[in-house]
Amino acid sequence: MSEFFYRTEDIPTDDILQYFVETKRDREIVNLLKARNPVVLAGSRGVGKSFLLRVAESELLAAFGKDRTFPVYVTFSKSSLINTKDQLQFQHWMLARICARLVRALSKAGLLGAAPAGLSILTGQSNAETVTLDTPIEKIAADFEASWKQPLESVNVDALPSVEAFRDAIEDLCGSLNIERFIVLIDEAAHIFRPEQQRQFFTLFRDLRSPCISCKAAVYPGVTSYGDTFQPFHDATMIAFERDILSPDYVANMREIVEKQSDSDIIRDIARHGQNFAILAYGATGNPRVLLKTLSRAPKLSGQATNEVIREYYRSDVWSEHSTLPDKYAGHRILIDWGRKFIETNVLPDLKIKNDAYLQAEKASTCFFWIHRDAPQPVKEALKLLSYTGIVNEHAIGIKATRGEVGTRYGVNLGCLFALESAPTTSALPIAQNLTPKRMSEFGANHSAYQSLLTEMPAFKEPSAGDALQQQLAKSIDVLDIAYWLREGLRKLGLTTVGDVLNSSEVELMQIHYVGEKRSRRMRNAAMEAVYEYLSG
Amino acid sequence: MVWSALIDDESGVLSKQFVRTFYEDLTGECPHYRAMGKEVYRECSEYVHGNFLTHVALGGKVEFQQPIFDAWHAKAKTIRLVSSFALCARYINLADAKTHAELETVLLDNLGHIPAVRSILGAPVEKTLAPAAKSAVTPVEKAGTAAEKTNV
Repeated sequence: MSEFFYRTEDIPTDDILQYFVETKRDREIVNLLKARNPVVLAGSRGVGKSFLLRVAESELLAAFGKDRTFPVYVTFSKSSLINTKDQLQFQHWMLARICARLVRALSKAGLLGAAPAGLSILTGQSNAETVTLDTPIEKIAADFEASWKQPLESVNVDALPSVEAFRDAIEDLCGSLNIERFIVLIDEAAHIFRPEQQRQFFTLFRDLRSPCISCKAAVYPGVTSYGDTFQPFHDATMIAFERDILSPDYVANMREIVEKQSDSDIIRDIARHGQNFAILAYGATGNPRVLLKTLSRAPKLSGQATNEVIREYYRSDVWSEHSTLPDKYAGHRILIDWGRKFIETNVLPDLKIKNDAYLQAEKASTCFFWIHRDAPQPVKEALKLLSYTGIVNEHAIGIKATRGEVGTRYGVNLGCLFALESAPTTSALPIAQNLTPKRMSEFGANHSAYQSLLTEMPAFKEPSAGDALQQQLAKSIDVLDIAYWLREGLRKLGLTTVGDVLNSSEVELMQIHYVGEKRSRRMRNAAMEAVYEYLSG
Repeated sequence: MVWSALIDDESGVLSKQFVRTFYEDLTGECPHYRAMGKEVYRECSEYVHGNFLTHVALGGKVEFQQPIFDAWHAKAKTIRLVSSFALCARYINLADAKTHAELETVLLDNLGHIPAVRSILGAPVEKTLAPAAKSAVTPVEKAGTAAEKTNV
């Protein structure tokens, strides 16, 4: 059976274009990513943001000889690890990351044969006669990324250029390397749970604007803390990246994405059970990663397996990711739990009753609901978290509903709606194929369903990210994926928390019986992985 | 005859242009069978040309092995499906009633999931639920239906 690529990171850069299934919308977005204007691309997890960034990168690199536009791909996925006293810690770290990635990308493209003018600014090396990659600036980035180990220590940022110096250096580089423009493609640009980082990111994003450099950023839908200077729609083209389930080509496009990475058995079974595949495709609601995951559980696409996977995945698994978020971000627990309850007890049952009646009367169906724009802030925050995990997606803002009231229309994940059917294979397709956004359940400014949330959380305030980190480090070593006897060994050494293991040296760990150099490193790596896993939301 | 010419996206026997010429109703389906054909050919050629993984799986011995037996049959099933489709696409429109009757069992067995194939062979076609009149929703109707239940 074929093994699917669930994440873009797993696909080798050279093969990216081979897996690309181009829709009209994808092409528009890739073209915007390759063009001059700054772009902010927002989409929930697994819809293919990273993939489009990599496609743009590959295409720009391929055409570099002719167009002289140089792409630099950089990811800020480690932003959650940063925890220093520095007020501008994120800005410093992000600038360091961009410098470091830029130098590496140029070097990989073979453009640094002789050190060009402006390079020394980006490396932090005063003597730039020779080009090495292990630069003082890279060290700054690495120091920031390690700052969660000793929280609140400061990192020496003397070598880091100011934003102005950075822009000048880029201009010099463009001149000496005959490059027309740099395009910086920033993945996971702003951390969803760290408004402080979001603000610093957008400020930097705006400050970097110059004729020689264009920034393109991929963010999650809930990222909305733009800071003081950045103004969405003025300072960047904002793109909401959703695959439109109402489009007539939707299933065909999703099918092509799957066929590009399937073996012949799966392609055959999809052809024979096209309807069941269509149900899974609609259930995934535009998210290729979810489609591949559900398909890998029911590769034969038989009726029974399809029904089972719809029920299991969309009744429990899809929520498991959402419901484990409070482990990482304790401050959001009330919002997260309420969000689930709201969707499961208010939205879904209501839509189901309506669809049953609509379809019986041969009318169009719905998967949409509407929230009044004056709904309480905690409700809006809860919906943001739901759109981060892809349970709902924001369909349109500023929609007029009954009595001319204005609000936001959301679409709920179709799979969750299908999971309420007794046999999705017989009743799901009519729902999906007859959708119209004109029908929606409406929730006013003071709907009774909000009450339980408001009593628990009268006002919304930003939780401190540092607290979340401390909480992770204080977790017991039981969360680490290591053998029982190793865990007992750690206990004997008095290392009981994840933080203890991380702060201990490899030599210290070697005191455990049968633990030598290799195993001690492996244990620290396991601890490190556990922390990354928890922190990189 | 060269495989790459046969399977070519633009001019092969499973290309849209080719299928449209002989049986237009199957045009929408042909990219899937083309993908299937390409993939199964690649997989079979891995056995022929001594790909490392297939060599290891075969084990260098000539004797019965269940997994290899199953793999062979899975590929054969796929190839049968692709050839049936190609046959249908090229000739079914030109064949007379007698030929239809001869081919009916095997084609319905393999391609019975495609409505166009069922209809040309005279088999009952399940009525697909036609998308309901989406435009039939009037603003008045919407205001009544949606608001009653959930609005405050």
